[in-house]
Amino acid sequence: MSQAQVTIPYRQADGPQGKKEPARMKFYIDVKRCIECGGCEVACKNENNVPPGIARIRVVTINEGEPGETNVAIPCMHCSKAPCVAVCPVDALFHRPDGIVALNKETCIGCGYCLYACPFGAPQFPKGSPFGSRGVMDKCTYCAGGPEVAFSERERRLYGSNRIAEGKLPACASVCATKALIAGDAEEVANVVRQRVAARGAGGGAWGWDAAYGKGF
Amino acid sequence: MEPIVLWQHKWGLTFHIPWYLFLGGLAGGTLTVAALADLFSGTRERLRDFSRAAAYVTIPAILIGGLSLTFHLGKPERGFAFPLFFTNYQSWMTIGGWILGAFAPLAIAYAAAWYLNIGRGVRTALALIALPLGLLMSLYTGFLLSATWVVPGNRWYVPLWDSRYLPLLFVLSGISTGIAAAGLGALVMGRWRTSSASDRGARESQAVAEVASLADVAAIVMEGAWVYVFLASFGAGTLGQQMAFKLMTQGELAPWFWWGFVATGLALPLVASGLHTVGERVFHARLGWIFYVKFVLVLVGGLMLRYVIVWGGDLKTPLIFPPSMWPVPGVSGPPIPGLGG
Repeated sequence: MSQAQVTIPYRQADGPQGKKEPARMKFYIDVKRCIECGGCEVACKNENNVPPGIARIRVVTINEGEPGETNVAIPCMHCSKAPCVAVCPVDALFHRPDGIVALNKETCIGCGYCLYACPFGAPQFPKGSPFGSRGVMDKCTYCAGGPEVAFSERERRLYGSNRIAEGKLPACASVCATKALIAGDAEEVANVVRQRVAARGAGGGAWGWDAAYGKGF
Repeated sequence: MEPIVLWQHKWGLTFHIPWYLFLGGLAGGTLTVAALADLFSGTRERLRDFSRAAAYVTIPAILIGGLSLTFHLGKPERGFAFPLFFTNYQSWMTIGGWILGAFAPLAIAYAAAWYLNIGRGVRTALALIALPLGLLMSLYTGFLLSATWVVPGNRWYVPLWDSRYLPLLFVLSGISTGIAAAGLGALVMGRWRTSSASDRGARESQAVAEVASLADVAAIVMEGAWVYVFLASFGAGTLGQQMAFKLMTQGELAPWFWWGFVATGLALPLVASGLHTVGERVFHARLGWIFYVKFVLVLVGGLMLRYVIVWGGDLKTPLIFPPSMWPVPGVSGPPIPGLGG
């Protein structure tokens, strides 16, 4: 297996020591903006040749048809302290320097431990074989391919496209019509979220605000 | 706000994982009781026979269990070569690989010591290692499930797999099923021996079964008490725990839980023991067959418990994060465990 060097996006400004800091890539899903169009799901499948039965991102609707209906797209959240990375016995799941939780399909043993550890349902297993769910795990790659030579045929077959190495953002975030799903360096994402929350007033529609502080705060 | 519950399947889809959890816990239990009975047998023939039967039963249990564990993997060959590939030592699967890797040879050595009638000294030495390792084996099957991480506020992603209740439940169930398997093994082996020899073998195995039955009553009572604690705290627990409680006691898993586990694995074996005692003491009837029924019931109950726990693991804690729990580094106090600060 050729362990190609990964192409890492860097922050715009230099770090405190004057060094270039790797960006910390994150998704943010704005539940006030998502309209459940499914564009992200389609874009993801189209971009990455996702195997049948696997949804690397899917839109979940809660309170459907009732007041307060909410839609939220759920990809892998690329957690900083990722439970899947913690439980994986063979270290097939790992953090790239830019914070993306990447998967090595060459070392995955297909045990399913990550599936139960993940609160977002990001790691999934192919269901095509006669024995139900077999084979190795598949998950959102943040459109950053895998630990293979960038743009190689092998990487494309195993993991899908590598838009990060091309200098682009993930396909799902690129196509999102309402900019509900935003991606990028955590600082940039936080700036966008801060502006939106400030514009909306107290609570800002943050998930769980009403439950914690009550309405009309 | 309605919670988001993400349902995911894998371990409950095929027989591999529930059977492994059952057989692994059972093997841990049989080796523990074998070592205990051996160490404290003194000159009592019954306890030594019981220990021998338990040691023999451990072998098929751990072999079948280990194979089913390995073949649930997408890549079983990497499971066999786990010392080479399992590099993440904070994962319970890696720790469990080593526990299983130590347990299987020890169980075989202990059974061989019985079979070849090597001196008591060697057996005692093996038993002293087997006792903690057997407990560890049952315990780890619980920790394996309950290591699926903690979110702030002590809420589990998989509420049913709570590390405060599950490991001890699996240990107690492992011991009760282990005793039952050993008793059943003694009965079957006694019958097999009698076909060639006199009636003596049958009587001896009947005596061993009585010991096993009595010990199993104690184990079942302890297990039942712990199940009650488990359920009671879940019924009054967090949102995720209450949902798991409802799923298990009133939802889709309720028939499996109440009939499969509570009735079959806990209640009926106790009834069978009572019937046997009354029948033998009061009516002087020969009711040896009741032991067969009782041990099989305990085993079926233990298996159903693993199925219910694995199936119930599909239910995940709702993802509600009140903003008060969001960690703000350096502002809202000490770092939150599991998330950093």
